[in-house]
This record gives sequence, C-alpha cells and structure tokens, in this order.
Amino acid sequence: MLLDPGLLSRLIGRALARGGDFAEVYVQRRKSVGFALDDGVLRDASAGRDFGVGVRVIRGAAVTYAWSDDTSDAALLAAADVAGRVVHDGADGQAVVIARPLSLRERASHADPSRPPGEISLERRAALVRRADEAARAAVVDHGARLVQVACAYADVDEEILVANSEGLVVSDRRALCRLSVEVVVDDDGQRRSGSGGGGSRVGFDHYDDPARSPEAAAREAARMACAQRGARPAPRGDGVVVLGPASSGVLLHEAVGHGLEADFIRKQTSLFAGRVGEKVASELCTVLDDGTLPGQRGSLNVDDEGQGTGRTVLIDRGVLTGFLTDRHNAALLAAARTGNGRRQSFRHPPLPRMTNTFLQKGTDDPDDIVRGVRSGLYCRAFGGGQVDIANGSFVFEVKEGYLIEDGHLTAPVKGATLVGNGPETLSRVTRVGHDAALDPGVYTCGKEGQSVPVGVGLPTVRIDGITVGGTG
Amino acid sequence: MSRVPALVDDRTAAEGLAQALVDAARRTGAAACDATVGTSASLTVTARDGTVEEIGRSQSRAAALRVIVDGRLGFATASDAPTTPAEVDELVATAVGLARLATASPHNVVLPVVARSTDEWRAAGDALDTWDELTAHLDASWASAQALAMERIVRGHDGVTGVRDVSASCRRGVFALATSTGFVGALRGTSAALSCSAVVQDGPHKLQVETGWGAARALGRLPKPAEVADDAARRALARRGARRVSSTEVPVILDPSMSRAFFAGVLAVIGGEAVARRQSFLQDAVGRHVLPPGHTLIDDPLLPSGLASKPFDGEGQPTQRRVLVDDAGRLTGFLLDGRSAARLGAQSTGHASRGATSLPSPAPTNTTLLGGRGDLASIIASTKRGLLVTRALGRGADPTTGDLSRGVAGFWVEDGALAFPVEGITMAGNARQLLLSLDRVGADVDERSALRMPSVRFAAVALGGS
Repeated sequence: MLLDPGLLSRLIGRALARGGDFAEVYVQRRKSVGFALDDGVLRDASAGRDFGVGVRVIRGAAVTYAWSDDTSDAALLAAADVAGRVVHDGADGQAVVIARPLSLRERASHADPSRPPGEISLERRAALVRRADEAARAAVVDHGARLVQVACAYADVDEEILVANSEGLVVSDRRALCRLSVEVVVDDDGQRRSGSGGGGSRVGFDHYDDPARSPEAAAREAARMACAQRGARPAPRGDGVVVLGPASSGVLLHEAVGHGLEADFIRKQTSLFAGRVGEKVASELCTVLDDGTLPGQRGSLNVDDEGQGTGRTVLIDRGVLTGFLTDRHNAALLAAARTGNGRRQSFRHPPLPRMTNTFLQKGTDDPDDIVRGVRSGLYCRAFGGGQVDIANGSFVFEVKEGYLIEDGHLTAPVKGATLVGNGPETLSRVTRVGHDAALDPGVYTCGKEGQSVPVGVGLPTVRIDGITVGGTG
Repeated sequence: MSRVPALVDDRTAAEGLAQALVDAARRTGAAACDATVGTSASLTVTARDGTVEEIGRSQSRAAALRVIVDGRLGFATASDAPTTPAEVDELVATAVGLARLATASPHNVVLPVVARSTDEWRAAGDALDTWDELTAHLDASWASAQALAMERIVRGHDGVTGVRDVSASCRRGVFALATSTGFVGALRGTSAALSCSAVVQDGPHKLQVETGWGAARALGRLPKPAEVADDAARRALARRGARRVSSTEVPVILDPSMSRAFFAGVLAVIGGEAVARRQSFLQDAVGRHVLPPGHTLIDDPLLPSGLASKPFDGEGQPTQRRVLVDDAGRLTGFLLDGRSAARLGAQSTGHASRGATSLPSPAPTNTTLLGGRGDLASIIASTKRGLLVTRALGRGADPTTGDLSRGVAGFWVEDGALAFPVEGITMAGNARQLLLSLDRVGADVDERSALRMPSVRFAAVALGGS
C-alpha cells in the first residue's frame, strides 16, 4: 500500500478531530517520462516524479483541502490538522463523526494497463518519436509537398493512487496513460499549413503495436491533414449548414453541452441546464452519454479520484435532459446519485465533477449520404481550440481541417473558419446522425478551474442546419 | 484562525540545494548543468451564500536538474525535492540517463554568467520590491473576510441573481537557480488576489456572468473588495438584453483586458521559440513597421513591484529594460533565451522564463504599450459607429499566419456612446494587419497583470453576425 494503514487511520482521525461530516485522504505516486523531437533533433528527454498526499474535510457545504508533498509522518499529520480546521461560526465544533475502520474495497477493471509504460525501456519509448519523425518526412514527400517542420512528442504517466475516507473506504488503483503527438507543417506557396496526428490510451505501451495506432500511422495522418489543406480558401461567413465529421468533432459536444451538465455548475445555478431535467434541450436524434467504463480509453478509470466506481450516465436521452455528472460533495448537496465523476489533476487538487468519455450515440444515417444531401455547406473534420461560456451556452471553435460542401461533394479546403453558436440551440438543429460513431484517438485534455484531466470525446457524422461560421471570406 | 503553514521563504536553503544538485551532477561527469529549486505556500478561500465555502492550502518544495552531456540534454524533475544525498544522486542519475537518449545539439548550452555574488543578486532582487512582509503573512481570516465581503456586496446589487466564484488568495514563493558556470541566486515574491463573479438572469434560459478581479504583489496595492464586487455587478447587469448585429465592417475598440489578450498573442510570436520553429507571423518583421508610429512597446523586468520583475532570468542572465517596438513603430528584435538565441545565431536577451520544474523558454516580463492618450471613455466618445469588445471566446491569432477569428461580445457604439450590449458575433482579420491599423491607443494601462495594456482601437474590422 502507498501509505501505512495505521497512518491513514490516524490522518482521518486527526482531520475530524475538530468536527466535520467527512474526511478523506488521497495519496498519489506518479512517474512520468517525456520526449520531444523537433526538426529531427531529440531535443528534450525528461522525467518527473511526484509523491504527495491531499486531505479533505467536509462539513455541510464547506470544504477544506490541504496537501503536502513532504510525506514524512509529521508533515502529513500537520496537513490533516490544517484540513481539520473547518471554518464554522468561528468556533471549534464537536467531533460529530466517528471514522469507521478502514477496509480495502474491490474495484472494477475498465482501465488496467496491459503493459504499464514504466516497465518499458527508455530507449523503446524514445524510439516512438524517431519513428514518427521519419514516417512524417516520407509521407510529406509522397504527397509531393515541401516540408517546413515536423514536431513529435511522446509522454507517459505511470501512477498509483489510494483513497481512504471516514466511511471506511480504502481503494487503490494503478493507472497508465500514454500519448504520442505528431505535428507537420508544409509549405503552400509561401503560406504554411499544419496537420496533427497521434493518440494514446490507458492500455499502456501495447497501444502502439496496433498498426492503425502506430507512430507511422500517426505521422501519415498528420502529413495528410497538412497536405490536404494546400490551396485552402478563406472560409465563407454567415449562417449555414455544417456537417461534423466523426470522432474528433466530439470536442464540440464536450465543450458546448458537457460542461454545463457538471453538477457544480448546476448546484451553483450557473449552468443554463440548471433545473431543466425532463425538458427537451436537443433534437430527438440526440442521445448523449458519459462513460468512464469504456475499456482502456483515455477518459476511462476503474475508480474516480474519490474511490467511487466509474459508470455510464445518460445525460440527454432522445433530446430530453436526464442527468448530471456528480462528485461526492455536489451529489450530497443536490441529493443526487453519485455517478463516479469526481476527478482531480493530482493530490494538489480537490476533486471536481468532470467528464470521462463523452459522446453522442450513433444514429441510422449513412455518413456519405449525409454529405450528399447538402447543396452548400461546410464539412468539419478536425477542430483546434474551443471555448464555451457555461452560463449561456455560447461556444466558439476553430476549424482545423474543413472543406466546402458543394452539391453534395467535398470540394476546396477552407482556412480561418470558426463555428460560433449556442450548445442547446445547436443540438436542437441536428437533423441527421450517422451510424459511424467513434471516439477520438486519445488526445484531449480538459481544463477546468486550473485542473487538467485526460478525457475522451466522440461523435458520429452529424448534420446541423443553422450554425454561424465566422470566417474571413 | 490559523496562519499559512511554516515559513518556506528561505532563500539560503533553496540556493544550497540547487548548488548541491549542480555539484553532484558535475561529479558524475555532467560538465554543463543547472538546477532549480522552488518553494511556495498558498491559500485560497471561496465564499458562497454568506459562508466560507472552500479553504485550500498548499505547501510545495520542488526541484529540477538539467544536464548537458556531450551536447545531449537530459532533464529530471521531482515535486518532492531531494532531502538526502541519496535522493540527490538519484535525480542526477535520472537526468544523465535521459541525456544519453537525446540528440547532440550545439543549441544545448548553459550560458556563461556575469560575475556577481549570491548576496549581490539578493540585493538586486530586494530592490525590485517583489516581497511584502504583510502579504507574506496573510491568513485565512483575512481571506475569509475579503471573500465574504465581496459576496455580500455583489449580491446586494439589484438584479444580481447569484455568484459563480468569489475568492481571495495569497501566495509566497522562492525560486533558486545554480549553474555549472558559477551562478547561484534566489528570488522571492508575494502576491495576493481577489476575484468575484456576478450572475445575472437574462431571459428564461440565459445567464450573464462577469468577473471582477484584482492582483498585486502587495496587499496595499490590491483593490478593495467593494471595488471588485461592484465592478463585477455593474458589468454583468450591463450585458442584459445582449443581441447580435448583422455582418459588417466597423472600427473595433478593445478594453484593456481584451487588449491584453490580443498583445499576448503578439508577444508570443516575438518569442525566440516561435521564431526558431518558424511559427511566427512576425518572423521577417525585425526592423520593419509593425505598429503605427508614436507608440513604444516596452519590456521592463526591473519595474518595481512588477508581477514579473526579476534581476536575473531563468538561466542566470542579467535582465534589462528593452524597447521591443520603437517609436517609429519598428520591431527591434526578438525575446531570446539561450537555446532560441543559439538556434537563431544571436545572443540571449535575458528572457528565459522558468518555473521550478520546467525547462527555460523565452517569454516577456512586464510589458506595456506607451505613448497613448485618453482612456476607454474618450476612445468611445470619439467613435461614430463601431463595436467595443469586452469579452472574447476562442483562441487568438494563429501564430504562424496571424489569421484571427474569434467569438466576441461587448457593446455597440453609436455617435460616441454605448447603444446596446452585443453577443454571438465574430471578429476576423489578420493580427499583423490589425496592429498596423491601430488608430487610437489609450493611456489607461491596466496594472493587474504583468502584461499592462491600455484600451486600443482598430480602424476597421470584419464582424460576422446575423
């Protein structure tokens, strides 16, 4: 165990010594390795280690959180003391909760690594970026393009966590996460076009043995995307028909709808979805789920960072709002069920309700047919950055790879396009949903209140009638 | 009420550990190396419904070692800094082991440093006034009182229906650097911040949220809770009834916050890293006009009490005030650290930015645009018809092309006055052309962050709307 069970019990006892409803200790030991290769030069080889403990005490709606990366008994007991000073009417309260004896809980196995990266030699891990670099150069030549730059990066995390709380729960987990990214820039008559590829999962290093997920495949995808955008025209401006391509377009769903369904925004009444369970918020073609149990996916977990088993939560069922994503604290305050979405970036952070893998369920339409049915519109295959204003649902997304649709065919690539809209309004304008549901290749990291966690996003091909395209054309 | 836990502002201890890491690395044959040590303590209190909602405290002591062995770079970090010789040796072994896997490059350098003693650096740091004893000792009762006051005041405004995040925080930290070229020095700093967001109902399923905030090195320079709360409430209330406008091309005014976001994108691409990667829309702009004449863009790492002030950079190079764009509007050069300078065949400009567990990378310090006149109000008053932008969604300009397309919200300006709030539209253009089209610059520099920008106006920008 990461921390002696006797010490865990003492920490929980100390944390509750001045009162409180609940106390929790989170222990994390993490090893990470990263390689960055630019212009054929393996520029940085880096490794980090991290070991620390976070103590949380809850009393009513108040939460105190203290953490320490000094893991001596004395320092940890001091952190528990600090967390135990829950502010309440300026006076110390009585201990209202007696911590139950700790007992180790079994956990499910949705995201166990088959080969944790920590067990692979550094040489083999570094070889991934060299292979990707070589393959990207060759692919650009094959496309007849002039290469400006290739940048490849690989990073992995191999960690153990342990959660123990005053309800007697003790759960430990081992988590792996690998990610490879390839960025290719090619010349287009003096202008630059870029493309990206890569991905990863919680499967461990075996992920890259699959030819479809190899460094070479990632490099070819990055080169394809960059080269396909040569001759891009300025995007047309105005409202129109947009077709979202499968998989990566799910980032739109994550930003424009998913965040508004996280229980903290609901509790604080700052989400436009607050108080609307049972209402129609999207077209009946839309069923939206969050599922942390998908085997090995980037957003999957055996247990969340509060020790709760992850689950499959239906957020929107055929257009009707059905649920929220909760952590322990917000579920208690909202008298809602826990969904296993209490996640944190590290022991330095208290848990928040966060998404895992969030996606739109597949429909019945043939994806090619969806495009053929559009006389004039924009097809979006990949997105760059995006942002959402949770209070009113407005969002903005940069289209990284997009094409004009003219008479049912994809024609010229476009540049400088952004999609601007409102989450529920956009979902209510979904008129066709393809049968080609897919998750992204494992590249997304979601940021919220300064905490980053890996997530998965997904979407089948979708047609939206009426979304604003901001462009320069 | 408790004090922030045990003092961690011991510069001597941090310097000692950094030096020990360098000594150990040199003993194993890493002739060129440097080490960083960072310690910090912080406290954040949030308020909701008249009570303290969350108290967060942290204490951290992290270290990192960069070694260059035969031109190959290895880098190892530890969030729990080594405390024993065995742990020091382990970090060294990790860094050296990694270096063997990297490619040798002449751009990997540990720069020579000027001869100055640790005490002299300490005096130089003290002169910059980045440490405030009062702020260093702020406690949870201070933070609770500030947060509770802001929450009460913001809820007292008619029409404010709720709050999102209301918080008060304080932080103090030490950063030490030692290099194999003989540099040993440490910096310390304090900061405090207030933040308050007001929620206003705007129709059945729509809310408007605006945040007021303040940040400073010292408590004495922090705005009062009432100023922050009133600002949030006023701005959120003003957004009620926001609507779209049709696509058009008009003058666009950026308030100081939006101006800061725009110039952050510009400064990123005069960073040597972007230039060396050929991902800068100002790649070829040194010596050329990038701004209309009459304004200067200044980077001043020696600004007293500045949020990014420091006498030496992350590679031990002395820092100095620098004109980035001169008053003829010409870009004078790039911001360089050791590696980007080597890649571009130039000298470091002392702009290596570095955290306790990160590699150096070039970045601006305290930057400001001088030479303006008037303020936001006078710029609005001089605008016949246009858009004032107070919010933006989405990323800024594409670093390589400068192409920019963002979702924006703000206020429509008609006959020199605000007519109605606007939202759900986009502005598009090219950042390099926009820079040259600046036709008004205010003197109302916003000092709440290291990037201190005034209100500005672009002559004509394409807006995408209904």
